[in-house]
Amino acid sequence: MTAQDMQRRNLLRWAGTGAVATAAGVVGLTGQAQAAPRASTDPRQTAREQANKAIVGRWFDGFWGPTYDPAIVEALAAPDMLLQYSLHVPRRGRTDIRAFMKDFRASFPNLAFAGTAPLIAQGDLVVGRWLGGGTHTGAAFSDFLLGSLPAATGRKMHFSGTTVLRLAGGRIVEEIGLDDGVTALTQLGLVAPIRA
Amino acid sequence: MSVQDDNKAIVGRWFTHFWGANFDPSIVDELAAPDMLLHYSLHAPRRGRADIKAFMAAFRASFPDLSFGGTAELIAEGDSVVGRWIGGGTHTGAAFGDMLAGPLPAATGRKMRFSGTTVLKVINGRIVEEVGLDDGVTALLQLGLLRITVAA
Repeated sequence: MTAQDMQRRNLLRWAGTGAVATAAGVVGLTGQAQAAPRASTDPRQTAREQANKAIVGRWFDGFWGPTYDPAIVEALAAPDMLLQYSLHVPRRGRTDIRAFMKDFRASFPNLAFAGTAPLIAQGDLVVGRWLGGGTHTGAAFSDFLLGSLPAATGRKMHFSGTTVLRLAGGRIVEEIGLDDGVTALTQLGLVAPIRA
Repeated sequence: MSVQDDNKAIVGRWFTHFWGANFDPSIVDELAAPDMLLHYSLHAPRRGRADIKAFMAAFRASFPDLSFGGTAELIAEGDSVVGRWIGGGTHTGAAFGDMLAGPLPAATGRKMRFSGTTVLKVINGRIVEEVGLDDGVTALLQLGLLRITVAA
């Protein structure tokens, strides 16, 4: 598969516009086919809501997908965008957001996340559910709120989450996500169960 | 009122009477579809009204002051409604065995307060599915079921 095919498939996967996404199907990181997204049947869905979903689809692909394109930050992030995930220190603004992703991928070079359900949009808000992760084969990583990893632990994380994005004027203003941190941090050895 | 507004009203009532400060078991018969799936990341999944009532009865027997409330407007498209919430309770009651991370003996006195995001599917005025992600790290650290292994 060429990079372009990959790009196209990811775009379709995230597009959330039923007909196209259904035709393409969805392939998760495990390589197993998942249920194809259902077409939106909400007759009230406005052109703006559809456009917002398309923007979030491009963002998830270009920012969170297997191939990171730093130019996506200039294109789609509002200048003072807030990026806040439960596992990580919050970031504000394009420079900070690019630094976040650069460091994340320097530590987890095969980092990739993908959607698991159609996007849900109302008004300025878009909700995405996702699954993904990566292998810590790279640099030391100190951006998790609960602990640091020394370089190349070889540990793998694969976890799900739900993200709510707010858009204004065709740009992402806010991205606030909840990670399944119990799964991720246990896999990374940063937390451990206490059994009574 | 659109279907989405109706769906949001249903979820609003569900959050109040199922997850709010006062649990009203009759809300399950009224708003849950007979084979409703209830699945939160901290807990074992439940299916059907009897199982869902048993889940909440046991949860509140262990955490008598259990209460959750919304933190932002509901988001609705198609059959889906998304809610963001915060809440918790104090473990002053019975032993609790429904956390996937491990059991709590009776009355540990520990408090949990955590947030989450839930996606519900509403069809013909009934909740068919409620799938939620808990901030489990926060809850389980507070409950002493999880420990941090490495210094930040």
